[in-house]
Amino acid sequence: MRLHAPCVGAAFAGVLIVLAPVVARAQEGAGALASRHSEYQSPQYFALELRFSPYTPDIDSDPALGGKTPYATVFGTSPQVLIAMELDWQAVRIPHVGTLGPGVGIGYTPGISGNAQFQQEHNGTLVSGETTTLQIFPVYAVAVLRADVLWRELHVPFVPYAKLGPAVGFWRASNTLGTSHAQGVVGLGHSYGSQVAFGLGFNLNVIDQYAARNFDETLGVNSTYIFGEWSRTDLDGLWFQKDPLRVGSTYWSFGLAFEF
Amino acid sequence: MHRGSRFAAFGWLVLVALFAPSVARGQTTTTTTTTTAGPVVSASGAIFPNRILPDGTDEGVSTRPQNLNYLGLNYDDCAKDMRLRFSITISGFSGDALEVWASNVGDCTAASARGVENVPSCWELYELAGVNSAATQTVTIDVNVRDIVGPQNAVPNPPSLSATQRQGEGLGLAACTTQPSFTAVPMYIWFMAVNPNTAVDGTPYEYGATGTPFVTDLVGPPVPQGANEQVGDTLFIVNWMANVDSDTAGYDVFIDPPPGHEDAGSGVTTILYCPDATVSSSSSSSSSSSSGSTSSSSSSSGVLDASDESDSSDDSSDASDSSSSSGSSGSSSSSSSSGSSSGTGCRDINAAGPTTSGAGGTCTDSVLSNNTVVDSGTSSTVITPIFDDAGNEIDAGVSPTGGGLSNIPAANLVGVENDGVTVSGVSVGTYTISGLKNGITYYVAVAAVDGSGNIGPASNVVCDYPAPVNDFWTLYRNAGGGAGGGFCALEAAGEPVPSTAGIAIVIGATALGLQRRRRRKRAGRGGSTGTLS
Repeated sequence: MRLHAPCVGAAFAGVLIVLAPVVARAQEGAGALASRHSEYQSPQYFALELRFSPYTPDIDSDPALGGKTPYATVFGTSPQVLIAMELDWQAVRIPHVGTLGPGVGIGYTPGISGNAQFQQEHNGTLVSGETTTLQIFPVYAVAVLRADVLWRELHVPFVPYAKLGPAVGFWRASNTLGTSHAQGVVGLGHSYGSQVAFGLGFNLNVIDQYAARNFDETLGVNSTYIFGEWSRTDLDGLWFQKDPLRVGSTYWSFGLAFEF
Repeated sequence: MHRGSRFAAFGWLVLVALFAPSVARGQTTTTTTTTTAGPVVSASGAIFPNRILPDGTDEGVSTRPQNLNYLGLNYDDCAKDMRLRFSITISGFSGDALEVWASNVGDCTAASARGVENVPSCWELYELAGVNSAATQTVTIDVNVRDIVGPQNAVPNPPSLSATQRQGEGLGLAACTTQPSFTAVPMYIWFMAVNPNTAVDGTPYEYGATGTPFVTDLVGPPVPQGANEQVGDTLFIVNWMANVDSDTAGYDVFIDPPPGHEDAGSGVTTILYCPDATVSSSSSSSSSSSSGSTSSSSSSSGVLDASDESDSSDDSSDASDSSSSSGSSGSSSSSSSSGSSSGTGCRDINAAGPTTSGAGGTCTDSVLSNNTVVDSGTSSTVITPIFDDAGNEIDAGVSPTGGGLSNIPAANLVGVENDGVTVSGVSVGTYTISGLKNGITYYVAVAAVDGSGNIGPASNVVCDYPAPVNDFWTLYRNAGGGAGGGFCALEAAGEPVPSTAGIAIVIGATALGLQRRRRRKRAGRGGSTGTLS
């Protein structure tokens, strides 16, 4: 479903209206509080992200299927949930830009499940009682650039970032009795590809800098973010893997991130 | 001084006066102790009695798994007319009778408990009169289980069983149905020396006291409600509403015909099923082939090309594969082939699903139905059934009002685990029976099992026939998808690229990062984020 441009604009305006006072307060106190905070902040090396995403694998887009849609037939077209976490090492700081470093992420789709279909109608239905599931574990290694200059130098609590790197998706197809087999081939494997993402984090420190400072002093967490991210996990086998199961997807993610 | 001597003498007199009664009491006590030292009855060697069947077979101290009231009694023990063989050591007997009494309330040493000028709460199981044995000796006593459990709700008055009953004949099978509910009852058996004045002499032995709990449980749990089945490829998924009573410890699932014995089963009429071909009237003609047979006329049941045949045989092997794979909630038996395959890739399958019950329906099966041998009020009340979005009734629990017993042949029991039941846990309401044959009608029932191994009355019987299905993986492969084969499958796909390349990339990047961090630490720069200059 496409969102109309006016709706998107109105939503964005609403967000700005809500956040404007917060940002203003942050800027007012920035001179005193932010500088005091920077005095107390602990060393910062890493970022940890916890995220949730609606996820629909690209399996049915495989040209080898000739337009058939085995995934949608069994699991439907509604997105499933991808739960993921990512750990980034902020290896270097680029002056007046932000941090750059490698990161690794792993996800899991816990709920891709449906009913196997009878080969012929049984008691008036094609839906059997046997469960068929698909588990996907996307794993990737990316280079992460976090442009936190807005926050560090202008005290605007928005941090845009970008990620790029290789990815691999481990997957397993199973039924009620265990891992599936068909045509003598076990339903187990992995697919190679790439990961690219762009996101925007909102630094929650701006809402309560005293709490943020305590969080830093007690647990060493320098900044806490909520973020939204657009991702493309393209697990098409790259140039060297033949016939991968296209378990990648294009999706939005929302979650929490901690820099520590 | 003289005056002091008088004071001393007076003091001595006071002391003597004070201590005289105590000394007297001490002497009396000593005398009493000497008097009560008499017959001693105790367990000899192993405390727990062996179980002896009427034909003399010694089954050891129990016939059940350790977790199922191992040392107590259940209905099956009673129905088998089992005896408990106690080995008792006695000494110091001089004309006393060695008597064995049972009770479900406790002490039998008081004469009143044994009915002397009172209503008895104990009943006599065994008596050996006029024992003269000052020296220690061992006596073997067989006690009939039915004598132990039979009188618990109606203690005979006078409390002695007849001589023939006490000598091994015992009470009849009716003794095994005397418990009013599924609540287990602790029992106590007293071995004691009784003098002619009906008083207990010396030290008796109590079996069932602390340390040797002895529980009788003759009634199984209530009926599981709402049994239904879901059909898969060579399998059934049986569902029921989990019991909520205090007695249920698990469930037994029964099936007829048992997997692997379909030929001797219900004699289901079958027709041929061919993938991607409509079962038409012409297939009815092949229904004359008997159940499980291989038909040579299968090609008439549908138009098959070579790929169809290939798919079919693959599907058949898939079913076999999946039957043998692990991961189910409990496989009932070793795998069997997916129906009876014809030489052309078709399978026998039920014509119209004879007598299928559907969800929650019932079927009639002589083996699984009408096997309730004890009904102690099995009309469990369903509490507010809940329905899911699809209209299926889901677990709402039951309010048990009683229990009972069933006696379905053990040959129809599937999936018994080491704990003695098919499904462990009172709150579990599902079980997968695998290893079935597609197209054969099976009848299934569920019964709750208690902590003593009593099998309660069976649920409604449901019936259906397994049928071949396509799971996601089969649909994907059949559609032309080429993935799969395991995590090291690139070679199988014809591309001999190291399959661990992706993992190596991730691990390599991580190792590189860690190495760089260590270098920085060694260089004394740890503590702040690095800066590009």
